[in-house]
Amino acid sequence: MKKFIREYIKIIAYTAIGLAFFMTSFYLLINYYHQEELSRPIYISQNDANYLSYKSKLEEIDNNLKSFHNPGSISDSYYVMYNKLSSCSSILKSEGTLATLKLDTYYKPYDVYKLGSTFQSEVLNKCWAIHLSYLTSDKVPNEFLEVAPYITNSVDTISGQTSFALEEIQNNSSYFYTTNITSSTIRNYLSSDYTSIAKSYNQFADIILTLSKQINESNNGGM
Amino acid sequence: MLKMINKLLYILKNIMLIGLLISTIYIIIFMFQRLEKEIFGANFLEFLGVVAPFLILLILYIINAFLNQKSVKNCLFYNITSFLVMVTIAFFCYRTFMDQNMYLWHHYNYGINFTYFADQIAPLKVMLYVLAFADVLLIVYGSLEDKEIEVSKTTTDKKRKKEHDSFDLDDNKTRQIKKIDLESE
Repeated sequence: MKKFIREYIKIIAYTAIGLAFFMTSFYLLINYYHQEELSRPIYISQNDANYLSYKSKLEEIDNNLKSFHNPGSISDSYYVMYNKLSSCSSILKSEGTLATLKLDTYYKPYDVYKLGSTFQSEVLNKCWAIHLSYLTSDKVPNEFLEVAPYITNSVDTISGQTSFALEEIQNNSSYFYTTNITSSTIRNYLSSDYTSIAKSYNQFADIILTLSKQINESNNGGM
Repeated sequence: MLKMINKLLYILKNIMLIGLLISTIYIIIFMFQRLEKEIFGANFLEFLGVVAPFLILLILYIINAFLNQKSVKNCLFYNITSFLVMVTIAFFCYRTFMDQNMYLWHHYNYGINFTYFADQIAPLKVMLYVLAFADVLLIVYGSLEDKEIEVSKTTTDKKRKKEHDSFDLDDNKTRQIKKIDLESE
């Protein structure tokens, strides 16, 4: 009887050790994999399409704003818009935005996160919220009545996609068991997050470009 | 060779457990500080919940070392698993302190990624408790084995004594017979 109990205890002890062995191997490997996934930076080349298109849009905005002159001959709302767009143009080129991105460099998750958070804090909070959000109110000048709904919808979309990309980067600090949801958090989405954020910059530059074109056309007697 | 590896793993796991206990306490202290929780107050049980498996295992390892329990000391599988568990926890701690690719490492401004460590507490506790459970079972197994050996030793001694006694008796008998024969002659 004693011998039976002894053998039985041995079996249970070895089963428990086996369980611990399985668990620790699993966690060690999954942590290593998670670390490897996150340590892979993204490379932004010299010919990065998002950067180049953003730069060309900024140039176009600058040209449109430069060609806008003689505010006395046009309505006040265009002049107000001109001032607001000038401020926005300098914000879009400020430090930390896509315009100041160093090319031919490797970027880690935190760098991409900073790029996205600069978009939120500078572009959305300052340019949009302070200068252009009046386009969503009831007091939209008649000159911008047609373009206002397009701008509002675009900003909603841009804000949403930037937040999603930033949340995805934030989620890289933890993971759960290997379900479908988990595999999506363990996998490194840094490249797609960068693309989303860079697209947000481009889409916002498109809005400014549209408005700058409009005030420029009005200046030339187009509107 | 295997004996040497076993001994090395046994020593390493003991040293690592102490180191990991200290680093875990360090992380938990800062975690509580960040959340404005007092350790020696209402949240003491929460603190104890994380540290308890380490302490239990440490006590068991001290018992193993002082009572020289060979059932645990000589179990290569147990020592390998214990060492692996310590390596895994060390990896958790390393990533908590050093992995700057995780966003929250920067966000907290402490140089410690609390969220990552908090995610690892549950598996860490389970692994340590399972190791402690296995250790206790191995101690019981070892003690039963010792008793059995003692019992078998005592029974063989008794048998030998009996045989020796009977041999002595036989010897005495033959001596007496020889004496009688000599006297009759």
